[in-house]
Amino acid sequence: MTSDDPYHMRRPDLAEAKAALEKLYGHTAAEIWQRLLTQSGLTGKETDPDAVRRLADTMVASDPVLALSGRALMIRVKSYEYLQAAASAVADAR
Amino acid sequence: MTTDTAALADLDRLTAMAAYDLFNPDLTAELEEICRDSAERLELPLSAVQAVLDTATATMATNAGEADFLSVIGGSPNELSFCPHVVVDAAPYVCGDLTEEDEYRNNPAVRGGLVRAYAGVPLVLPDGHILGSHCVMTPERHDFTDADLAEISQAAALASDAISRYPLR
Repeated sequence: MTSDDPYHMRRPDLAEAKAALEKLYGHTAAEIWQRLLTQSGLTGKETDPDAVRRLADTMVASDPVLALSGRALMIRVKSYEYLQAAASAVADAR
Repeated sequence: MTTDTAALADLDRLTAMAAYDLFNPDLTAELEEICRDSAERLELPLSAVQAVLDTATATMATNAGEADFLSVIGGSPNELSFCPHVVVDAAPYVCGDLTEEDEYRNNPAVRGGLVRAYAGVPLVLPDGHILGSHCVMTPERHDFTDADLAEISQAAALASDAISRYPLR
């Protein structure tokens, strides 16, 4: 485990978000993904943490099912940040 | 055996969940009361109502308001949550010592000393889909009795009923 991989959880990124959408929506996911990217002002190639937050915000403001999935994505982002901070604090204390 | 969290990405189940106003403040207040009752009756420090979404478990209410580790983040990723076990198995999940479970001994909440024992019961929507879990947790090892499980099951039925009274308009 490293401070970049707290408790074996990877930082959520757009690739993870897209894969989750594909699992949930199957063959209709591609169209939904493109619409969410457009509404979020994203290309899908962004790698910065803010891109995932913008996508999650767009999902939460969408239809009720996407809103639940977007809430889940935001929980993943917050959990990663919380665990990373905790792992860093432990490392600093050593 | 590891819980198959991939099975949680079920569009039919999520669509059924999305028919309810799960985070309505009035519903939250009702569920917090149920959580407080469960925690008091079982004399355990933490009780929660959790909605298991496709990739994460969202905390709908706890007995501690916003003072506990679940409420701080709003939930936890499904692979780090105990409640998916309840949804995937469609049955209660009871563990008196999570440090003895391969699936959970490296869980951050377990390693961090926040949770050692867990008991959760399914929350069932009127159409039969399982929304999540009503659960109790404690940082100490704990032997749950049949009477404990009956208490949690009764509270879970109350929580399911409360949720069903909040359709999304």
